[in-house]
Amino acid sequence: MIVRALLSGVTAVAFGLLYQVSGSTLIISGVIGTISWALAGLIMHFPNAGLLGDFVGAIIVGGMAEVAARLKHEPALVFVVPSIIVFVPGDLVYQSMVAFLKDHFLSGMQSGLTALMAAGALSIGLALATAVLRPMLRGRWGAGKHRV
Amino acid sequence: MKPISSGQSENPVPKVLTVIADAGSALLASGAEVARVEDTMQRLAFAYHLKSVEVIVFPTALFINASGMNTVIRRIKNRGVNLAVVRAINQLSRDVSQNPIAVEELENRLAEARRTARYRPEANLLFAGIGALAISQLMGGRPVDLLPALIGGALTQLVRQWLRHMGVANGVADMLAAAVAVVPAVASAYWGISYPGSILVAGIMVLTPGLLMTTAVRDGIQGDVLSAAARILEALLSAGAIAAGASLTLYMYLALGGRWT
Repeated sequence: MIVRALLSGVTAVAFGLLYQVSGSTLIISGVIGTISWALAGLIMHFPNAGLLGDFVGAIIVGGMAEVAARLKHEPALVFVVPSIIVFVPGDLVYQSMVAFLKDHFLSGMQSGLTALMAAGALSIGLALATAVLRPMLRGRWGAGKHRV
Repeated sequence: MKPISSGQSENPVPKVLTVIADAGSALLASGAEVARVEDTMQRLAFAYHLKSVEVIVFPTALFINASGMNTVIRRIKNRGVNLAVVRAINQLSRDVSQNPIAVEELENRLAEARRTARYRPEANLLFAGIGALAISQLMGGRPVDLLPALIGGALTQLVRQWLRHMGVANGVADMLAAAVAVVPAVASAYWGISYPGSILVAGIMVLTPGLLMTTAVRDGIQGDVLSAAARILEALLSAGAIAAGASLTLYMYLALGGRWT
């Protein structure tokens, strides 16, 4: 469990490097990746969790990135993009692909649709975190002094 | 008699406007969201005392106009991911709005920001390899999957970089890179490693359109629905291209009677 969370952090750092991020930003991305995966992993163990883990993970990534962006005066995008990669449902897409190739149409459809819904859960989680946190943070620190 | 239309010669585009447009197009080409591009351009225009500035930004084009000047248009053809450029230009616009500098100096610093902190191409291969390696372990891989995943990630990135460099369209490049990404997984299946799925997933995850999905969401919340729709479409097309490319290799392997468990 802890090892997997740390692996998630390593993934976030590696993809951060791939997207040309550097310095302390990279370390923060790694921490966000680790914490979000650990909490999402806990939720996955609930009975009938379904895609709840992805959803909560995305909320945590979005929320922490928004706070980090405020504190570091950097675009939130820099923190979100590397950390969200581990939640992308690559495994489901792969299962769907193999099922279609083996003529198992129904299970291919099932995995494919689940992957699409997982992507939807991630999007809604990110959107929710950003939409709620951004106005709150803007109000607290320096009341939009950077606005035109 | 005075002509009604004053023509271009009397109304030249000042350098400020073109430099601001360049800053915007560099941001957009590096993967920034629409609201950030508009915000940065407005902030720069405000710092140079331009009056009644209007900015319109789409994922593929941007327009900027100030009162008494011609409109400047930029077409964005090549879009990639370079968060270092987004950070640098964001920082630059903050600095300029606090203490203004001459337009020529802004132009120089912008050119510097566009080249900023890029890692060398060979280093990118290593990063992709390490990312793929970590993902293969997350997807339930075993130690035996480590090396093929590392090779898969690096190989995928190599093919994608090379194709982009050749000027191949993004969708086609993604498809071909995905087709190659599967090769290490297929090879390990051929040499008897069971459940090669985690190696395959690790390879294609390097190509994931994660940035497009994120920016689509952020554009959507801000109300830039046109950009959000365009980026969702681009992400779906990219995912489709990746799945098609990976399926192609896998299909040929299976059709030749290969073993896949």
